[in-house]
Amino acid sequence: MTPIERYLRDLRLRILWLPANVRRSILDEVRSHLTESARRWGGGVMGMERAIFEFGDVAEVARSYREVYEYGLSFKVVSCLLSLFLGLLSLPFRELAGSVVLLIAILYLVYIGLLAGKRVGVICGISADAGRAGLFLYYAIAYSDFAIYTSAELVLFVISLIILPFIGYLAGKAKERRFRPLF
Amino acid sequence: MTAMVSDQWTRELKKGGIQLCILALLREERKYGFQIIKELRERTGGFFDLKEGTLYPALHRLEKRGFVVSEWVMKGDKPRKYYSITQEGLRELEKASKEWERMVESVRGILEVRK
Repeated sequence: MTPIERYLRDLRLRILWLPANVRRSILDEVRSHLTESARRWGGGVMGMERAIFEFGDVAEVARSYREVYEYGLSFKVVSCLLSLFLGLLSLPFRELAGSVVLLIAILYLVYIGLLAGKRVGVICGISADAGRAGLFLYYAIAYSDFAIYTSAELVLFVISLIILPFIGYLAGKAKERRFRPLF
Repeated sequence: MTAMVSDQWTRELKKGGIQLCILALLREERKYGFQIIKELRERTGGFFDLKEGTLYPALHRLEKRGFVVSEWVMKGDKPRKYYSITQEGLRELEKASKEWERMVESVRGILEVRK
């Protein structure tokens, strides 16, 4: 594998979740640039290495592209499903395991918001809510003869439903402020 | 500390100017990436000496906003992606140029009084 092919492979992995046509366009353009640049720097491995150096760190380049384009549908679907799953597992929250999973869900929403922005953060928060609310309703109906939740737990549950999408929103907002594009 | 403040200030200054410069270069004729980088460097005396990998996301952003369009052109056996400014881009360039002139005049007014 040549240095340029390695660079393109790394770039492709870092923009994997962008829409397929966008990803193809980016890789074609970068390949074209690096190939021409390597020729200008004398060709061979040395030319390629110099071309890559002049082009810039692959992580930074990938981040710049991710700032321009939203993540593709497949990324959003997978993130929502994972959020839904974490939401399901976070009930009942009176048990330690449920609380730990809720904390993991919160951290995941922060991560997704920072990665993909406000909109995806909020959607994932709502998905987590759907998981929690779905299981809550199931328990409420299945055990309707029993008061399985105290009033305080019900209040906390409602508060958590409001907070989860808000956490995703805040993380996305923080991303906007932190990673304002150069242009 | 002083060096860090200067670097940050320069970076913020460049943020404002780079898009304007790219659109202005494309107003002359359609260009491809290397051309744009070279001309930015040479015609600004090295002030806009971009890391090559940062130009293309900028061009993609301009294209997404409708200010430029791109097309692949075969130069011999080598494909090159050329960028051209759109009518919307020309309008944006005119607006941005006026704002830039206004800003430069305003700052100059302050700096000259200080002298």
